[in-house]
Amino acid sequence: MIGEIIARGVACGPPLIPADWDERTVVRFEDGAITIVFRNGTAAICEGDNPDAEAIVQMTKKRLCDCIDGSIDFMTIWRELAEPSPTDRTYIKKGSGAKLITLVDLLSRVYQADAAFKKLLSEYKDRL
Amino acid sequence: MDTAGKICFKSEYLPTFTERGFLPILETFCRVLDNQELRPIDTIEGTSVKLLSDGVEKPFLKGFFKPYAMDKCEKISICNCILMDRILTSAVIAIPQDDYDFPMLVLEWSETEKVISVVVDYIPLADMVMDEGYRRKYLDPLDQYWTKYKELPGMAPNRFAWSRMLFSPYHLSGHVPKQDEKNITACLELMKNYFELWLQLRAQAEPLTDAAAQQRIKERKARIRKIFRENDEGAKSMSQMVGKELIDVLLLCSF
Repeated sequence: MIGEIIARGVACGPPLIPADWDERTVVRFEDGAITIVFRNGTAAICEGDNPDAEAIVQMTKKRLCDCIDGSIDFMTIWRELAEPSPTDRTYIKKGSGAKLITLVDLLSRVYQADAAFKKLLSEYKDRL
Repeated sequence: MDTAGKICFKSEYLPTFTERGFLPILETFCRVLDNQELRPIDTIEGTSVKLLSDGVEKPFLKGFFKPYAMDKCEKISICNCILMDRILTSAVIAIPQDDYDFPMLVLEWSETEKVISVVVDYIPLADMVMDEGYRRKYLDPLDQYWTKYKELPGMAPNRFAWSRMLFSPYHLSGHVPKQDEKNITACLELMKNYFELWLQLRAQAEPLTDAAAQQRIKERKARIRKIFRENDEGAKSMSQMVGKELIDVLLLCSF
């Protein structure tokens, strides 16, 4: 379900993903995982884990929703995903969260601009 | 004085991003620097830095990073960039020449809609256990400001051990909430006070005449530079967004 919501957001979001990106980021949740494939200027969402992905991030579904809906300040998101401490790998398990932070940025813009997406995400978060 | 250099460093000619609701931190830095003679540096370690010093306008990074030569200093770099249209990052980093032992200056300001993150310090260029006079001369004058600002809401130790090991006893860092106007004013003052005092200490500094002491300073600066360049996690992430070439230049400009 979270994968479908992200895919929906990407589909109606601004073209923020550079065309030359070719990389996979796995997001592991409390139950299951998704693999985000950044390619050709977009992000395709696949269900399931992929240990060979260039980046692996661990977070709860609620935290991802909090990042998108603005419940967490962007500075905190930046620190956790883009500037992880070498001694605290709570969120970044492999590689860098740079690509994911871009996706979060894109989805939060959609959240602000698109009432249908906002409703979809809010209702999903309420059910968690 | 290179007139062009001075003209370049007037905030009215530079992207301040205050029109986006960010605080006038660049203006604060410019006011402190107003009477300083700055000479633009175009090349560092054989690499042109114009890619950044002329200004950059990319989807994830807008702004500039300008290194200058200044009296008694190898360089002073001033940065004002906006990351992903959400975080204003402004900084002043100054490094003395090899024949001076006054501390390096680090002022970092990162700001979002809700929070101001600050890091301020004078990075010592001496071992203060072996040379307590160094602390008394260059660092203890900071006590008045450290005491005044250390309990601002959100002040907390820096997260990075590699960074803390370089810092002085008067280092301050934290994430100060913007909802209180008093906190905002205090953050701007903190930057100004640390900056102005450092310029005074620099003005009073005398050159080292001992070649061995100069060599120690040179080696220590090289080591500090290496530690910063190797450990800057934010730069590593930015290089994935805007390309390694630009971030390599950014690291050259900063340390």
